[in-house]
Amino acid sequence: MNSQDKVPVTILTGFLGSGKTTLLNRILSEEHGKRIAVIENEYGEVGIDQALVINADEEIFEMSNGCICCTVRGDLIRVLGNLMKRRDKFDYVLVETTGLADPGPVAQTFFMDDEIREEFTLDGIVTLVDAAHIGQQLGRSDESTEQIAFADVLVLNKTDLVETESLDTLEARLREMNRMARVVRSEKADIPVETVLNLSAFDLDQVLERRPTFLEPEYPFEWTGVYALQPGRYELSLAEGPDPVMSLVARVDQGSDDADLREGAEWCVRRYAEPAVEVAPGAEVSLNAHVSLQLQTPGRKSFFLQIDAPAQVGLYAQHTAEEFDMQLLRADDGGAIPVEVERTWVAQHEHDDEVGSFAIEREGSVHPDRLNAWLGEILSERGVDIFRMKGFLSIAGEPDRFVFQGVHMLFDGQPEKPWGDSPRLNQLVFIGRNLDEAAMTKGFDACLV
Amino acid sequence: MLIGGASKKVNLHVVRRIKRALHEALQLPQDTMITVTQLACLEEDCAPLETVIGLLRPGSPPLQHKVHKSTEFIDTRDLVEVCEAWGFSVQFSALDSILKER
Repeated sequence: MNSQDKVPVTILTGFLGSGKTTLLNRILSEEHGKRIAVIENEYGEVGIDQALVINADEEIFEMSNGCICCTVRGDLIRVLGNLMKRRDKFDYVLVETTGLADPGPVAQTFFMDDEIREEFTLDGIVTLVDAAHIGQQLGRSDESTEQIAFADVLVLNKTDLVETESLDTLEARLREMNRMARVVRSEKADIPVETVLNLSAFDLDQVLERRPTFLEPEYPFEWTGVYALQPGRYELSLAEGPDPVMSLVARVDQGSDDADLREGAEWCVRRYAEPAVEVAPGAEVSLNAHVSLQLQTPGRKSFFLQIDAPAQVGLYAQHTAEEFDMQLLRADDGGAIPVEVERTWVAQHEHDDEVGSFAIEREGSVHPDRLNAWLGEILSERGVDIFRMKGFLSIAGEPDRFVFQGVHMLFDGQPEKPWGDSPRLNQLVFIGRNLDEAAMTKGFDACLV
Repeated sequence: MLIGGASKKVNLHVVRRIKRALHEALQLPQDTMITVTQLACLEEDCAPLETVIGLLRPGSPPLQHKVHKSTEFIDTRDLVEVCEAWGFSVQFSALDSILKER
């Protein structure tokens, strides 16, 4: 069956009081023309004609064949089995879980029975987050952590109850746990229906279209600006910003195209690994070195750069220029130097939570036997800790791109479209608990031909 | 094999026939669900593809049994073994005639 003929399924999760039912009612009451079958755990009235509402009692069991072990929801399998007999009555399925539900077994159910896998397609997992209480919940409950880790869309709800600054911090924390998810903010779950339905979220292409930078590696800096400078003295002027100090490397002979910037970024990562020299306002910034601009004093602060020969200089800054209204000026007349090229990077953050995500992106092709051996090893040894994975692979000798997705130990993949003239590439995303990014990346690299 | 030559694509017609044969031979009620899942296994002593057949009944613990072959090659003998593992006795001929019905 073609994936377009399958019935899309959205799983709606979220801790108690996060606003799931409000969102569900919103979806059901909007004019979207879909006939939605709702499978819900909690008894409740949903008096909408177009919806078919089925209650399911949570019934978790472990399917194990010795090598592969997965926990699925028996109640959901039975409900889906009954729904398959009424296939002409609906064209979308929404599964609402209880606040305490582990989303893993719910998601795995759609990969388990071969008939269910042919009839339904898991379109996406949407997790409602109570912005006011999630901070405490994350420390106390594995379920709320896993609900965030499994999500394709995180709806940061009840934002009217929280300060904007706290929301930014919370959003950054959520993104650390799940780089794959799109984060949307709402007050009373008042988000457009298309934000949560028909996401094709298991399709990595769609995800990349929405967030093109999400596969990129993280860097210790967030912004680069390249300036064409003549010999002379320059003033780097910064307003007050979000941090009392800011790391910076001013790299001489920085090229302007993207490959040059990436090369410069790799070089600067090594400089950032070195101890930073503190630079007080009014002092000189050393070129090609890691410095820490001291920004504790109020008002604008100036630092100085001396350029002895014409050069393009790249400023690799810990924060974006916008955050500090950073300007480069000629020291003699105060004339502003325009930035020739600028680029933002995915910034590195502290990893406080044991749940996290990472991506592997490699050009070239993989050897099928080596890849199978590697996949077999990580799925059997780390499957419990790998919540979700998805991506596409270039298999040596195969004309088609191979797309895959997985939940814990269950892996599903098939050849998709031909590579044609496009460059061969592998992109994989993993979300899980205590994943060893370096070891897994090394393991994947060993599969490349 | 997870990827590559040995495709793990299942024949839905065969899956449905297995489900129907077990359902009818065991005279199961409508609210009972049979699951058929073909899995790839990479461990040395296992067949590369195997099939787990499950029985889900409301109010009873789920039952499952593994057949060491791909779904396509499951025959009447395998299904008799599945039924026996689940604690049912079933006539080979009854199951065989349902399985071979078009």
